[in-house]
Amino acid sequence: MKEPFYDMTDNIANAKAYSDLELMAYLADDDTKNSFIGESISNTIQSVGASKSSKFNDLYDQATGADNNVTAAAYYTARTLDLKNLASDVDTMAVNQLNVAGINKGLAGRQAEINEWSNFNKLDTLYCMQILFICLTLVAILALFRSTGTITNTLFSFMSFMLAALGVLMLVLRWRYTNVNRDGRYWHKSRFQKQVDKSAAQSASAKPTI
Amino acid sequence: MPDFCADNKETITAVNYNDSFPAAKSCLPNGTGFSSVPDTGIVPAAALKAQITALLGQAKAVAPTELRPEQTNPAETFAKNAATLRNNIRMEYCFYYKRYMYILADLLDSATKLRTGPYPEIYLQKKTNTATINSKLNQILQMLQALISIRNTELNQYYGERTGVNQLNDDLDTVRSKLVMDAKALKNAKLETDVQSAMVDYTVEKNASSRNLLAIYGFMNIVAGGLIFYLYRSANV
Repeated sequence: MKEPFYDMTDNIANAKAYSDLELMAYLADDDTKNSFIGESISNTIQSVGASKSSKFNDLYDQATGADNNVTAAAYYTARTLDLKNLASDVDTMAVNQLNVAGINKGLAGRQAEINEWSNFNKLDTLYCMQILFICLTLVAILALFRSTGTITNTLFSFMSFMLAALGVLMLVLRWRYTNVNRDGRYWHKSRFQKQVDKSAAQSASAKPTI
Repeated sequence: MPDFCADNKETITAVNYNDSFPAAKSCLPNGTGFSSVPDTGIVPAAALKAQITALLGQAKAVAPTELRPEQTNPAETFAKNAATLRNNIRMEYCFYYKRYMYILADLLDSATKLRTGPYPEIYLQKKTNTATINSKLNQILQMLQALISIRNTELNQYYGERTGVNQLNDDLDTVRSKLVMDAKALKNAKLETDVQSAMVDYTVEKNASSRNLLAIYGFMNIVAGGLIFYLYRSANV
């Protein structure tokens, strides 16, 4: 059989009334009442104060932490920016050094070409002087023969003239080849009539004097 | 007294409990609080945001998310200004906290002595003042919440996907790659320059050698010419 529903409302009301009556009986004395009230106020104040302090401390700590996080991020950003700027500056310096190195390389290369041209020009001059020396030596030998009467004056003159003509011809041919056919920049390179010489002006100005 | 109020030695009396915190240092609008606060006590978000933005601007405590060259040390400046702002908020909260504790105790004490019937004017005034001070305390707490929220937003700006630190690190990586390439190119360029310099030295030495030979042959030609002259003269004599 099912139990009937028991209404607790009356019991709760009665218990509350008994409790209030007990409290009223307890507080019937003024001293006790004042003490009870003072204690209740003190408890309330402490509770409110603790609640207010707790909330503020919690939020204040969070705000401090958030500020510190932002500060750390700001420092991190600033240092990263500094690092990036430093790297950019170093890169700019490196690029400048590369440009300088390129210029230096060009200058050194050109100086080597000039020195090379000058050296072969000296060797060409040396060749002419060797020819001249051989001719002079031969003429000296012929002069010796003529002084001993081995050869006649006519033969001596003819041979000397031929040797001198040979020497002059050699000199003229070398001079013409160097100044007309030889490239102004590269000694071993010849210019040809149909060849378009792009660096004619540059070569002419760069050609060292003997 | 709680920790945040340790340095406040003020004695609260019936004369000064209703004072206001100096407006210049207050975090509340005009130093008195928000004007339109509903019964719930929750300040409208727009009003809170406007006030915290104005306050941060006034205290120069806005996070330096965009670094400018003219700023010497923005992070340090921000840290100092933010600490000053927080300290002002703490002092203001303490200011009202002590007054609230005083007037609340006074109000409750007065309430226990009241009989039924119309409440005296002074009691009603204390009650209103207590509610006002409590409202200020709650508004300061809401300002702190708004401050935390805005700091989180600022922090996110630093760590955005294509902004702040991440963007700077990407740029740094790019520059670093260029530096590595430039370093290689510099090594090669130096090597080429060294080779060219060695070639210059070599050609200078060759020139010196040719110059010596020219001098020798010049001398020999003079001797040969002199010899011919001598033979010519001796043959004629």
